[in-house]
Amino acid sequence: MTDTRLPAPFGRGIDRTRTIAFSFEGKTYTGHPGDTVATALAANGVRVISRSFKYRRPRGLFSLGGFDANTLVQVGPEPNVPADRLPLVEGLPPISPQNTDGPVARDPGAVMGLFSRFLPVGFYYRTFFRPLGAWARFEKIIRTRAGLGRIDPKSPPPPHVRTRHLFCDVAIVGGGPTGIAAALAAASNGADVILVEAEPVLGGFARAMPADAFPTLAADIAHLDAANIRVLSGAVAQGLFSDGFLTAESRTDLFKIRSSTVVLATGVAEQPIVFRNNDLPGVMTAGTVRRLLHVHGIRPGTRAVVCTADDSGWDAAADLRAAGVTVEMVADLRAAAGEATATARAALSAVPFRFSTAPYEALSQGGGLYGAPLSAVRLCGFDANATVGTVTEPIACDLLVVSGGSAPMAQLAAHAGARLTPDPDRGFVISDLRSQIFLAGSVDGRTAPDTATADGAHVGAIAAKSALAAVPPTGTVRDGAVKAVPDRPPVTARTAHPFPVVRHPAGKAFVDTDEDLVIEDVENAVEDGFAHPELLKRWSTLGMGPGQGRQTTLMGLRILAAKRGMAPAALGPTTVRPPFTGERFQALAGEGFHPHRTSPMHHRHEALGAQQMVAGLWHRPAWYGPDRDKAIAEEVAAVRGACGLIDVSTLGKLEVRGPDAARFLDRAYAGAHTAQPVGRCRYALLLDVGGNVGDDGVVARLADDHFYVTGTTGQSDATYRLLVWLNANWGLDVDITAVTGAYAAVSLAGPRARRVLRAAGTDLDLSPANFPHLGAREGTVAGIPARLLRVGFVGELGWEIHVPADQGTALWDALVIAGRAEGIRPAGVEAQRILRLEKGHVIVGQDTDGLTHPDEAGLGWAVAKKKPFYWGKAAVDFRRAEGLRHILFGFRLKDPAAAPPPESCLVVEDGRDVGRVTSAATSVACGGVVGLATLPADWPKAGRAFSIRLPDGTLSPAEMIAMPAYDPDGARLEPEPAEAPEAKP
Amino acid sequence: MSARRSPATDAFAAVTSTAGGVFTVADLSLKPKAGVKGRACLDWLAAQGLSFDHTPNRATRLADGAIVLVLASNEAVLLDPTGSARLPDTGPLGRPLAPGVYPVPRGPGLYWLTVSGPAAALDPAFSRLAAVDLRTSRFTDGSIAQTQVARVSATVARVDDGGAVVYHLVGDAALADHVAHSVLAVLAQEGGLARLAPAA
Repeated sequence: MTDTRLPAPFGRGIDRTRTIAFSFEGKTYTGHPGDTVATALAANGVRVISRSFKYRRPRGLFSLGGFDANTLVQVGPEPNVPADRLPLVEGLPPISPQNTDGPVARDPGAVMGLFSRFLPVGFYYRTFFRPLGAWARFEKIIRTRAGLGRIDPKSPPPPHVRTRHLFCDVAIVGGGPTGIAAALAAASNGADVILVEAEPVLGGFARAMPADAFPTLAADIAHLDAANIRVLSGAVAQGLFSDGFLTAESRTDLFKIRSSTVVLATGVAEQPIVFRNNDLPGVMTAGTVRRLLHVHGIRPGTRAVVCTADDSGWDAAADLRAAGVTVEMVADLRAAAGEATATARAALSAVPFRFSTAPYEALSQGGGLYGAPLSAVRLCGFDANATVGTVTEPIACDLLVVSGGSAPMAQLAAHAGARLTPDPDRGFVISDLRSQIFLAGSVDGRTAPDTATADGAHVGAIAAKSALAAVPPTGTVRDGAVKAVPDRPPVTARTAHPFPVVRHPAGKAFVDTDEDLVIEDVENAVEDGFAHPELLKRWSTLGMGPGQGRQTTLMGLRILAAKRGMAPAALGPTTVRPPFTGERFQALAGEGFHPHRTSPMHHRHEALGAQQMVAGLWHRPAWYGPDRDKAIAEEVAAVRGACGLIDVSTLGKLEVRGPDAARFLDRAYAGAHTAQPVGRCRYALLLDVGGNVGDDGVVARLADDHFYVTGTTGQSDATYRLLVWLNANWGLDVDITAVTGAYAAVSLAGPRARRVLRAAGTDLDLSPANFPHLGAREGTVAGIPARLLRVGFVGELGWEIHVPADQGTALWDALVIAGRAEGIRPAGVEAQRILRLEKGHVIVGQDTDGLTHPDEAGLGWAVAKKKPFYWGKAAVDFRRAEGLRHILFGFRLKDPAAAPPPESCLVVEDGRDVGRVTSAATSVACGGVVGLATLPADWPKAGRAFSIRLPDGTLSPAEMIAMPAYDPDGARLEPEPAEAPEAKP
Repeated sequence: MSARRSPATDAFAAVTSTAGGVFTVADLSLKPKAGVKGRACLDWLAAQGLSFDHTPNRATRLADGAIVLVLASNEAVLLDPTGSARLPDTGPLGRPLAPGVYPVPRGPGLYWLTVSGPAAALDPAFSRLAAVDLRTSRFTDGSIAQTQVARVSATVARVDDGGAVVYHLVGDAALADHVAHSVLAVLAQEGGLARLAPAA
């Protein structure tokens, strides 16, 4: 380690008793707990940390606050980590610089700097696409060179960021002296308080000052816990939304905070001075220097020049002197210093100083093409109008401290709709705050350190009073607990140079170091016609880099205004939106909650080796066993030849009960249900208001005033919502209750299904006469109360058996045991899809879409002809009058050995797309591939040939066939029609 | 009577309690439950001899240990953690009980979990599970929140027992596996599972 560490009292924020090793660019360095990676590098004399975006210029510490891209590094697999915000901890992965083709100090990419005159603002809008075909070549290059950092798709995913929902009366953003005072005042007034601080340690700007500047700070911090104030440190407040909703992100948590009032004690951001080569490593802000000294105990240089446009540079100069750094010169851009500099100036009595003097250019030595850190600075005369006067000889230095004034950290206030008005002394003035949002401290012009605590106490008390005046849920007003509110200190009177922009004929005076934008870029954009701040921003990308304009927006606005001959206040800044800093997708993704629904028999399917598929939120067995094709074929064969057992618990289920139950169903569904007999099922077709097929299922009438309605898995929630909404409008005396999860259901289907059911034990007469197809009965199966619906989606003798969900496993086990002798086999969704396709049965949502008329889907038969009203009737009738354009029809591929075409393959005729495949599968029973497709309505029916375009572009010949393709007469629905009724005691 | 299986069985089987844990989690899904809906359902319950707070989103523990959750002026859920309380007979077939009173099959249709532990641990745990204020200082005894837990709809009720803070979570049985897994995972991270009581 080089000799840059200072002894106490400097370095109050580090633990010198321990060291931590880390790797940067393949070399091992050490630092102390309390360091960031950037400060640890500085302590080791590493001055170049990254390369700039466009010109690949060397960059080092500047703001030390995450306000610029200078310290972005790659930390293991994670790109774009601000090293000046990354705490130095044990076990950091190897760290590497970004945007460099070689060692960061000698990056061959620096050659880009030679071409700067060919890379003006917006150059990429005018280049790379001429002559024709040029883009194809340039795109490859740009894709490899653009962006910052690298993502490795193979690296293991990072741990989940937890989402925490927090609630309070007063939320305070900013853990400096002002925020701490506000928190204590709010809590002492009875408010429930949360304090959010971006740094891992509380203290804010006070940490960057001598310890005696805030003697009570440590005690105040200790008191926060005693006051039950929840402190979220290391959490950046990312956005302030309406209704007091605030988000904050730490490395491990995303906090979503709802607060009655919000206090913003967010401080100010130091602004740069714009001059030639103001981006060299070694040029840094006054605040950075003070933090390096007081928090990290690092000497930022050996010979310093200080240039300041406000009072703060003087304090930095005094601190440097106290740390033993030679201060060669203090140059104040103003004609005179403020009164607040008296103490600092007294400490600098032996240091030369000048007024009306600005930095003219920063110089470096050596480095050649690669560039090098600062080695000297030339100053110049400078008046209030920014006129450049006499230029001095170079002053040797390795540290140039700059302070171009400050601007409030107003981003959160702007998120919440506040107005920002440019001000020559304060940067911006914030106004038009919504009620319940308060500003405290330097963000609201109280910049004098001795007003920080007093202003926090005042605003904290006001915020608590405001929050507690609202009636809390308990119904008691706690306003009586509020103490007297202390007086508010006035806005600090201060001056700053209004235009710290120093022109140089050779340019390279950076306005935005993130985007490598210089003064001429801003002015050229104006000349190109982008003269409004919002247009300037988007054309030039000013303020769009990682710093998000915190140190560029104000300067850019001032240059724009000067170019246009206007006052900055007449233009106003660009709109500020969340997030405050780069927000990780990992944080937005949040907890690893992945909702899923499972059937009560899910564990049975797992034990049988089912391959699960995800259908909506449901996990369903697609087939059973490792060999997909073999399993599906055997399951299909089992249903057709013996008996299959299919878990259909996912079906939507509703109880519809009450005196108007039949009337309601008649109105809601397209079919006729008023006259439906008790003990019978009917196909249920639900349309939407546009007459499109929405859902289908079965309506079973269990009693005069009690219907059991099933629907598709995917539409169950939407159907329930629609029916409840319909009755909210109609006001019928009916209750609609969703019971999808309350019942387990199986489909027992196949020629031996009746035998299996009898073997399992039932108190119902299963004979064809007493339990015909489409019958509905209530009874027991294997001693379990059950509802049996004799319906057949797969076209075989079969029953749907619905039992209470907690007895679904018992039912499944009973049927499996009973069916062993009959060859029962579980069948999955894939087998079921083939079986129903052989019968031409439609799956809503697969064979239909959001615009399918029931006639188009071949479901016109399910629409009652004589009902005066049903939901969607008007549209159905209207579209019938218009005529159909498409119909859903069966088809068979000419080649029986061909693979089924994937769903949505197009049907083509004479080079035009005229339809699409909705379902297709290989059917052993049908001797080849059969399917359903939407086809032109004017095509003749069965026998017509057509072509299907496969994904590889080839055409597969097919022909239309009438459905059902299997058992067209439906004889298999009742294989034992002559069986006599059961003799029951 | 055929064997019954709780929908949260697999989630409980996948975790173990740890020494030093602070939470007790029980699966009461197989305990008696009932539900009623309809404009006259609360009056019907009262006519069955139940004395409870009719205010929506209030929970009442009855003298015999049963709990009445009033979800709305036309819906209530009854929970019997003791297994021996006298819940009204709502019939097996789902037929209307009276004009404007309909039974809801809450027995098999709901999962039911209870979570208890110290307030200092319950607060941060529930801050991760739900986006409403379930802090013990604000979500007091007898409160009900119909909200989302782990991203799915659920009802959370606080019904303390002998001075211990107890949160009851009920919801659609089909989501039990997801909710139970999520709740147990969060509780394990936020203080550890002292005691697990799977469904019996």
